[in-house]
Amino acid sequence: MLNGTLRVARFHLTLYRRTWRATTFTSFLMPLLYLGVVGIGAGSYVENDVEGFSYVQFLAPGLLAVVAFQTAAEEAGFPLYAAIRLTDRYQRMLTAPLSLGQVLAGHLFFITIRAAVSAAVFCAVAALLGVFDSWLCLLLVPVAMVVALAAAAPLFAFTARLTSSANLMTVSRLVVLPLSMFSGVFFPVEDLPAAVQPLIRISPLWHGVELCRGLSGAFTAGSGTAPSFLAGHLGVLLLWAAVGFALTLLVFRRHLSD
Amino acid sequence: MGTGDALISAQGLMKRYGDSKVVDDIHFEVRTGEVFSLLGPNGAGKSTTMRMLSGTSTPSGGSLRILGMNPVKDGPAIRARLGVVPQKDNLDRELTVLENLTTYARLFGLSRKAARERSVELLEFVQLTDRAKDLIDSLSGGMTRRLTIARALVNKPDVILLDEPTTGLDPQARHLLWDRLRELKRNGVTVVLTTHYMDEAEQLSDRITIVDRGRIVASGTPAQLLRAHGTPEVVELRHDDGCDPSHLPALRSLAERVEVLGSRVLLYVKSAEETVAAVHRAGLRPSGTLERRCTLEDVFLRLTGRSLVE
Repeated sequence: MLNGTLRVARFHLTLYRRTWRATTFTSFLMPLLYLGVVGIGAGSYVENDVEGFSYVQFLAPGLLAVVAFQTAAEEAGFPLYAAIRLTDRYQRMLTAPLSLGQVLAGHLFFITIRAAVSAAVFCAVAALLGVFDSWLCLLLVPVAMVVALAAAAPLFAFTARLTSSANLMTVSRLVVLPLSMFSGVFFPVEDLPAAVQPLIRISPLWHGVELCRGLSGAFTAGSGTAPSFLAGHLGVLLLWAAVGFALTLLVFRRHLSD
Repeated sequence: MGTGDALISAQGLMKRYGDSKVVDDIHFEVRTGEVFSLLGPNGAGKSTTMRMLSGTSTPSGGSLRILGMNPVKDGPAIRARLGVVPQKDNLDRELTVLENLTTYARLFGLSRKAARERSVELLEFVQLTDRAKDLIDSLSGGMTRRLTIARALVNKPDVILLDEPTTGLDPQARHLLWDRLRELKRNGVTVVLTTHYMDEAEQLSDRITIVDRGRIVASGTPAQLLRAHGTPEVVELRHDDGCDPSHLPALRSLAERVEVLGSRVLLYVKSAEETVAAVHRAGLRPSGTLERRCTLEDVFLRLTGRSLVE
């Protein structure tokens, strides 16, 4: 199982080496732009601390989670759709001695690697800018990988069912964008209308944001994090990943091996 | 020949999508080292059968064994020894000709060095060595097809499945491709191919199964099919003003079978020369006549019933 999964991930990485330039804006530049413009620029007008952080220190860990989330959403959108419906890349991988599970797991693994690279670049720049006090912030990279997995797996199930690419925009407009804005990245979820809050608390991004922020507080201020806090958020993220994986496998069985 | 000698054995194979039976009770055996062709019009169920063979489509019924394994359970193990050439070329346009082979070889678990060596060797085999560094978009249809076939050979397969390998190619490209397939056969590779070109089937196949609407309509060697379903020769009568239906009874008495294909009338006969003489003696004046031997295409048209069979 593992060997085949790694082969699939390597295959995606080889192809990504040819196309990575097209993804630099969403993966590397946009998050840093947000950090500069919103965090440092607009943030300088925010006088109060937010949950005990300066505004930019509040924002940065949230943006880190968004980087992972959006990288996952991007990969789970058109590239996946094209690989299944347009270029038959999936069908081709399935003529090699690989199972559907390996092809899926390998693709998801590739996405977590992409998320890790984006997250690491973001952390490094944020640390250089002094937003993160400590290089320990790089320990947030594995969290970003889990967030990417938790977001990509269920989105895969959605994309794999599509028979027209028109609905891909629906996901990015109605799911990815609103979640990126309202999952406690720019302001605490508690400031949202009470009716919306439970919805947001389901989203993998919110759990990722909470985890990153909690851990970054622990690294920088030494405030410590409760094991239950870590386990709770990680648990929800892994649940999203597992349910998404199972659903996607189901859709793949129907569409790719029928 | 018993099941023991068969490399592939399909018995009562079924594939249903909802209420429609795409493959309906198909049975065939493919022996080691032979070229076996599945012939049929579009939509006959050829591609679906091929996908079931490679374990990427699950049969709805019947039994299927390939290389002694069950494609539903052992898909990856079977595909390790299988080469698949899909109907639609699906090469990676981001990659060069050579890289298309090496990346695919790596999916089979070949080391970087082995993948490269094998790929260089295969480019030689399909005569694309001088295009190794080019991108896919710069290749002609025939080159793309040859590269897809080379890709299917990275794992030195025991069996290669080709789904309509020459559709859309010009004659030169087709002949070059046929030559490569014969070379594979000489090297002991078992070839399973689908086509709707009868000359291709006749050129390459040891045995043929003709399918139509999911069902088998005939099986055998090309010679057997011709003997069983054709006549030695065929006379084609051309009528520029259309065929006069009142002549048909007279024509029928001259031939074993008569088919009307638009402005042409085909007479299936033992001797074309004698029949043409008889046609003229009967006072019939077609615009032109053609005497030829009976081909698989005649057999195919008759069996798949796409023409007005008289």
